[in-house]
Amino acid sequence: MTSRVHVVSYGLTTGLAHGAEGNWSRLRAGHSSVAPISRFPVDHLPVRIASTVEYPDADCTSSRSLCLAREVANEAVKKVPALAPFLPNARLLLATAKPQREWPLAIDAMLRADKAAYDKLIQGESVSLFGRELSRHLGTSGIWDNLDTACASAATAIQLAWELIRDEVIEVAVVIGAEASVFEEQIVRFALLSALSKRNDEPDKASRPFNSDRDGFVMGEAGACLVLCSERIVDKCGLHPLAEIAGCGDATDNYHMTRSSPDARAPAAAMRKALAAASLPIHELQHINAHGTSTPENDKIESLAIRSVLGEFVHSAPVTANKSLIGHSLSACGAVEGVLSVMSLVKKEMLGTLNYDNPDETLGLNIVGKTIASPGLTSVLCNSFGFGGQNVSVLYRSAS
Amino acid sequence: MSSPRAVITGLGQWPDPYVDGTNVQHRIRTRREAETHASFESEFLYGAADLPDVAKELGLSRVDRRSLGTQFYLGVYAAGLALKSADVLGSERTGSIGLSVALKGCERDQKLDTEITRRAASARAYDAAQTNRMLMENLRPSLFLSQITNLLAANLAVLFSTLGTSRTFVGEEQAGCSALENAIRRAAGSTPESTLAGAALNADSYGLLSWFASLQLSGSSNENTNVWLRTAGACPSTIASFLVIEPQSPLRALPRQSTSIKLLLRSSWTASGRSYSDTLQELENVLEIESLDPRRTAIISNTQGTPLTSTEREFWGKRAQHYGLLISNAGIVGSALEVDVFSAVNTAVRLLHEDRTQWPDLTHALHPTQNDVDICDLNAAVVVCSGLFDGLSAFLLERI
Repeated sequence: MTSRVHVVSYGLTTGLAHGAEGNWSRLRAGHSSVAPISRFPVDHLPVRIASTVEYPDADCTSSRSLCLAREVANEAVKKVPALAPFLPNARLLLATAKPQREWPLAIDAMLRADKAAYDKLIQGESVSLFGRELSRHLGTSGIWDNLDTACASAATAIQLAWELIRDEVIEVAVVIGAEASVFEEQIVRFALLSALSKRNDEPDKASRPFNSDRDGFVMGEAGACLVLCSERIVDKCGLHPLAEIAGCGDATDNYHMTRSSPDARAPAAAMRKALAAASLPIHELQHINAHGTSTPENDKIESLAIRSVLGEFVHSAPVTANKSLIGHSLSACGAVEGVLSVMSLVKKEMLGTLNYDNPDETLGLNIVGKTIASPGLTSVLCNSFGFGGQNVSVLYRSAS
Repeated sequence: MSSPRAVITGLGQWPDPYVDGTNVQHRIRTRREAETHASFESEFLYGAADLPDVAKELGLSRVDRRSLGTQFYLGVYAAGLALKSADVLGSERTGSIGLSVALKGCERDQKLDTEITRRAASARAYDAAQTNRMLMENLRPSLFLSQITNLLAANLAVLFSTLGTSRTFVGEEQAGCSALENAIRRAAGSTPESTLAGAALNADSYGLLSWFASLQLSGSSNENTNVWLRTAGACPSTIASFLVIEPQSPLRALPRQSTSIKLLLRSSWTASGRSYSDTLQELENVLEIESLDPRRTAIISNTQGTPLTSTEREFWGKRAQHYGLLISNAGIVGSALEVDVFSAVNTAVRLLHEDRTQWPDLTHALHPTQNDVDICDLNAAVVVCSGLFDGLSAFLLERI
């Protein structure tokens, strides 16, 4: 026996706005949340821009990420009060920023000889405590899982939730992606890998997926939550599904730690598997929400993968890249872009790709420049790819 | 849906007490930190491991110990041993094998960390610009690639040519249980996949040891006492452990030690207002349904001498004499977070299959008479894993 898997609610916070609706109105108008970093001194850093989300009471990656996770979960859960009796048995699937050493706080505690403060910081490096806190906050007594497949983490969490509901292991899943890791050491790490854009003087133009002058991604903090249910729960609670997760596909590339195989076979395989799981013929796919990081490597490989999957139908599925507007939320991006894919289906609009003013013609894609109405939109394929050869695609379909 | 069941066809572990006859007490070392690194803790006890010559023993020419780091290096070795014992190392079958890995990230550059704190301590102030410059000049991409959690799986994929699904879980003991559950479900699913599943931990790390200390989990002077009676806490241990998990009816002859494994229970307590002992009671109810012969069943717990142990001791204490054996695996291999469940399964497989009279040290049995138990009589084992995550997972292993 298998069950269909429905998206019944969502929550979203980015550097643009708190709340899904606020984000949508600013995204469709083409606003960028990328700005100079003011959170910490940026002297000697080659990259000084990012999209950040501030919480006055949160002072480090794990506490900011937890604030983000709580906020988007609250938004999503509040929208479906009828689901409350089933939340205690919901499974929590997480994709969150990995807690890391943050020097100003650690050194401050050390210099003040404040052992309690120091211990609290070190304890914050525990992923378990993050999950436990969130589980207690939501009252989900079911077990939780925290996925790390690099920038595909949230998409993998969605895929795992889809599998567990489809196979009738669980009936309700709360999937949360939360990434608030703009801090000094993280910027240095990605900068040393030549992954980040250095357009420090024009932040809102720095993230430019599928342009010929793209030079890297922009870090972006964001959180997103999707509440997924089985068909039985939808019927029992009288819920109105917003969309269906019709299929997921993943594929691993064992070519290199940080680079994809030049033939794009793994991302293409992930997309094909998702389409096959949804029984959707390629000519019926209407829209692709691309991973689209704005790095020279990703956009080239992803374009090749899309062309190889869609073949002669490549122009019938316009492609958008949300990271052009809000930056790259790393672990969380699969959930962030998942929510935006569902909102596209609900609102019948395809979001534009900001800064698409110098197209890389060699990529051969039909990129959505400005947000467009799409009254007949019923399917969106959402891609998430990560270091370590991780590739996941999720096919969202309109609720029937 | 009934609990999924699969078959363990290979196992690999390092250090392996069943090869050299020693348990963690024989491997305890003291790590002393320079006072400038942090002013709070300067001495830790942990279980050490000698590093094997992976290239020579597994015939892998591309293993670079320096770029892998100790944690990944040991993980590669244990994974290779598991593939070898399943008779698939180097064969074409690895192409269809998936990966399910649990890992605590962040093996940090201790030399650089120490230098940053030393300078701050000597200036009695945090200098952000100086720290930024030091990070830019001293962090090496090759080193921090070994800090990205999912890149152990990526290394395994490259070195062993696996191309199946790859998932990495984070979150201490919970992550190990998620990874094992994922592997069993994959093998038992509608499109069965064989999976290399496991975890690795390097305890010889200031970050890890100070994390144990910050949570007041680490032991001090009485590691030789029975784990069930300890008050001083866990002994963090360096260890890597991997399993090959396959569908129950593979199209090939099973290796000699093949063992059936089944997910019995995953449950949590605090969020639903239940206590840990309530959850243990739930486990006992599940065990009754399984109709096991208690006298021929071993209970293998990962209990570590932390506060949870007293609850577990009280619960199992009344029942210990009914079971063939009830032991703490932490007494044999130490406490290793994500690795706990895999090393406990390793112990279970050995207990069920190896007709030996000399065992590393079973004095960590809960009931004193069990030190003389006739292990040849065992035909089932239940692995019970708990930890920081407010949850308990249990897996049933049976002889085939």
